[in-house]
Formats: sequence, structure tokens, C-alpha cells
Amino acid sequence: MSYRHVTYVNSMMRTQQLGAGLSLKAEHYQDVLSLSQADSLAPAEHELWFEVHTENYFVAGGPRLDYLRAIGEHYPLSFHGVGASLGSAHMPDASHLQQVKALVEEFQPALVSEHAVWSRTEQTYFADLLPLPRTRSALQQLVDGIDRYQNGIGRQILIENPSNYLDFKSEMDEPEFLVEAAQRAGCGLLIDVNNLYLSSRNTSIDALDYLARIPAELVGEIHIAGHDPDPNFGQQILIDSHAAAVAAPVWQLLEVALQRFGHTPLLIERDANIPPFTELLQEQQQAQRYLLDLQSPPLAARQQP
Amino acid sequence: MMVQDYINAFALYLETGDAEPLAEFCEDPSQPALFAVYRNGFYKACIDALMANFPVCLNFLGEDYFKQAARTYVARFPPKTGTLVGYGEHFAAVARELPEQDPEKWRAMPAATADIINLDYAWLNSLMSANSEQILDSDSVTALTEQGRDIAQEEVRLNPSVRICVTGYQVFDLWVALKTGAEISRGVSVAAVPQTVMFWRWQGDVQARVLSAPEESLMRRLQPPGGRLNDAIEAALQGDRDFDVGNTFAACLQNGLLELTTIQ
Repeated sequence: MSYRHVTYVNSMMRTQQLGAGLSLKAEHYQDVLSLSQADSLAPAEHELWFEVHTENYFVAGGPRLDYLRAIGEHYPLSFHGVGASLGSAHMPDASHLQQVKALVEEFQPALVSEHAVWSRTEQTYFADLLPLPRTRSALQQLVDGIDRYQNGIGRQILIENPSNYLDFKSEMDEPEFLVEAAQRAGCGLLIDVNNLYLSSRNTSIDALDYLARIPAELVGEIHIAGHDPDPNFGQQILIDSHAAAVAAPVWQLLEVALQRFGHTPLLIERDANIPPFTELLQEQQQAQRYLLDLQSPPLAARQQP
Repeated sequence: MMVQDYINAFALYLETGDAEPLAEFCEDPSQPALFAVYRNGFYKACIDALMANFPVCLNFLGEDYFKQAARTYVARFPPKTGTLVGYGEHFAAVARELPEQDPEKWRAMPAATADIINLDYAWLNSLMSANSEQILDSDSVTALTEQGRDIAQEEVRLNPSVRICVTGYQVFDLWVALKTGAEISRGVSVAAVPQTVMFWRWQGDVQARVLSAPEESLMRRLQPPGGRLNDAIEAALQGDRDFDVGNTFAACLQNGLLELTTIQ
């Protein structure tokens, strides 16, 4: 079947109970398994979940998959692709899709996502999430790529907004581009609040206007992460490093996003400078409190006598 | 604007550093210097993957020198598929060629570097290989014997995690020491004598040892698609009539090295 023009609705049963999740790193496999055995310390069932980069599990066998199976018995998983290059012509290729499909079929992840970017030509994989020009032809190519991906793996996916470091010539702005891509391809959106913050600092994007123009029903997941100044350009360019704790302005923007989108599975990404698992868990608990606060009266109402 | 023109211009910049075609797609003509953010990101991701895939070589060369070699490798052999798992297939060959192609720049590259890289890559491939479907262990041998079957006549093969690697230098002890974090004095010399090293995965961990000549003969006969165990033993005995078949076979069983070629 094709998912084109099928409306993505973020209230699917499998994601309703997901709270704040964490990137799953190999350094923490044992910590996560120990946590699942220490029930008194473990966050409530389905509150904590883990996300992996799908392509890191393109292996034939061995401990990496064994650990993922063991952790998947205790916690919901999310597969977050970084190498499909949905915005390139004729991508993703059949081999890539077969490997994603096999993983999705085995692990039945709660969420599957990719990026609204390009990263490959027919000759080379550039191992980075490169921006698309927001033009009609790029939009069509992206819609085709999402369509190919969803049909290839047999699941609706979410696509993530990129980090922008420069303004490229465009025919539409990013909210318009992403929403139309999602509506035409029948996928949902993963709003990376850190990416949005960086884009607003590095380029002409207005983060608050951006969030106001994303329909809440399209949003199936939110990411937050740490960032760093570029080693060469300093504060002029902030880099999506995933190598630091989530910064205060990103937490503030997250609050706005959650007010707009309501309860949404929320992931803290960390891919470098990996701290001890307990430190990440504290950050996860902080993120979880943001979700719980959504169920409380607004702060202003609570402060009234 | 055609998206393919933009992607071609972007790819050209990432590959060569030529920013001129890409600048045409940029809103602010004064910004092209910032394109470096993307090129740096591409190289960093690939070099980080090489550092992860070749940790002993990283330790052997030191981070700065390793990164120089890795950067050269990325320029020559950028990734082809949408994953960096297993990236670095040609790294050993490039490391071997660098001192020949530019002796001035690479004169400090130790001659054993390619061997160290090969051992790292064999270890990595063993770790990520398919699980064995039917390990031959002492219980299964007993079961076969009770069925009246002669194990020497059975068709067996090495399990999918086995990798056999031949080095030009005797680097195995050095590689193990670097892998396990032992202190190694810089400039340590290794003999230019070939070694055959076998890697295999057992209970989730990769194991490694040097093979003797008859052991290598035995293992090579059992590489997939495999063969009759007796033929492999004969090949080993041809090299050394005193080869200890019993102990070697027992060690193979204990380490899960063999599997039957037919599912029982």
C-alpha cells in the first residue's frame, strides 16, 4: 500500500504511554539492563524508552543485536535512521530498505523516524544530515523518498527538521516545506527542538513562529539535545553536536513546543562525550517532569492565591 | 532551481572544497566561508567512525597522526553506503601505500601499521558477524556418536565469526597489549616475520590467537563451505606428523569454532 495522503495521527496506541526517552549507547547497555532489574529505581513502565540509530544495527549478528533484544524486552524502542538520504534522487536504495525492514519486523519499534535531508549521491555517503533547498522540486524528491521508505518498510514514519547553518535560496519556508511533505507523503513529524533553536540562531528562522505553524496532530516525537559553538566560527555558528547537556534556551523552547503539541514522546539525544548513565537518567527525569507538568494547571494559575 | 544541481554542487564542495558552484545557491554571497561547517561535519563523522573501528591503530599511532591518515583515507575512499558500520575496508591498503607515495610526509608511519589495521578490522568483522546456527560442541558430538555416526566423516565448517588474518610482521602480542591498554614504549620493534591470527566470537566476546602452520592448514580446510573433518585433519598432519589432533579438536569444541554444515 502507499501511505501518500494518509493522515498521520500521533495518538497511535503504541506511543500514547511513552514519556521521556534516551539515546541508547553501547557504553550503557549493561547499565540499562541493570536498571530494568532494579525495579525500585526504574522509571515507570513505558515512561522510559530508548532510541537507536537504525544503521548502527546493520550487522549480521553478535552482541550489539543481542543487547538490543534484551533491552527491547523491558523498554519500548525507537529506530531513528540517519543514512537513508530521503531527499536524494532514487534514495533510499533497496539494500538499505531491506535492512531497515528486517530490523523493524524483528523489533517492532514504537517509533520509526528519518530526516528531511539528503546525505548521499550514487557514489558517496557524506555521513551528515545535509539541508535541502526548500523548493518545489526538492519537496517532490523528498516526498518520493519518504514514500519509498514507508512502502519499503511497511510503516509510517516521522521525519525530522534539520539543523540549519546557512540560508539557501528557497521557494518556501521550513514549516511550510515540512508540513506539505508530511501531508503529501502520509508521514508524521519529529520536531527536534535543539535543531530548531540552532536554526533560529544560525539563520533567519523564527522559532516561535515555526512552532505555531506546525499542526499538533502531525507531531509524533520531540528531540532535545546539547549543542556547541563551532570550533572555527565560535558563537557565530552553533553546531548540533549532541556532545553536551541540553542547554537552558532549548529547555525553554521545549516548554513552548509542549504547550503547543501536548504530550509527545520526548527524547534526549546524546552521541558524543557520553556521560555516566546515571547522569543521562537525571536529564531524562528532568524531561519527564516537563511532560508531567503538562497535566498540571498552567504555572500562572498555580501561582494565584 | 533544480534540486539535483544543488546536490551536485554541494557534493563537489564536500569532496573537493570548491565552493564556487554551491555559492550560487546561497542567500548571502558573503557566507560561503561557512560552508566549511558541512565539510568539517562530513570529515569528522568519517574520522570518528575510523577511530571507533580501528581503536588499536589509534592507540598505536597516536590521535593526531591517526587523524591525518584517516583524513587521507576519507578523501580517497569516502563511504559508499548509508552506514558507517564496517567503514574502513581499504584502510590497511592505504596505510601501506602512503609511505611509498609521499615518503616525506609519512616517514614516521611504522611499517607494521597495515598489519595492526588488519587485526582491528578482523576483530570488528568477527564481532558483527552472523550468529552460528549449529555449534558443534561436546554434547552434539556425543549425540552423533550415540547415533552411530563417525564424527571424522562429518561435514563441518568454521562458524561465521571466524576470521583468519595473515600479517607481515609479528604484531599480535603488540596488538593485544595495545588493545588491553598495556603500556607500550614508543618505537617498539616487531620482527618482519609473518603470523597467522585467528579471531572468533565466543559467548559474545571476540577471542584471538596465533595459529601454528598445521592449525592454519586445518582451519583453512574448514573455512566455508567447509569439508569433511577427516580431510582437514589429514591436511594438518601433512604439515606436521606430530600435530596434536585430539587437543586441537577438543579446543575447537570448547571454543565453539565449528558447526555442522547440515542442520540436525
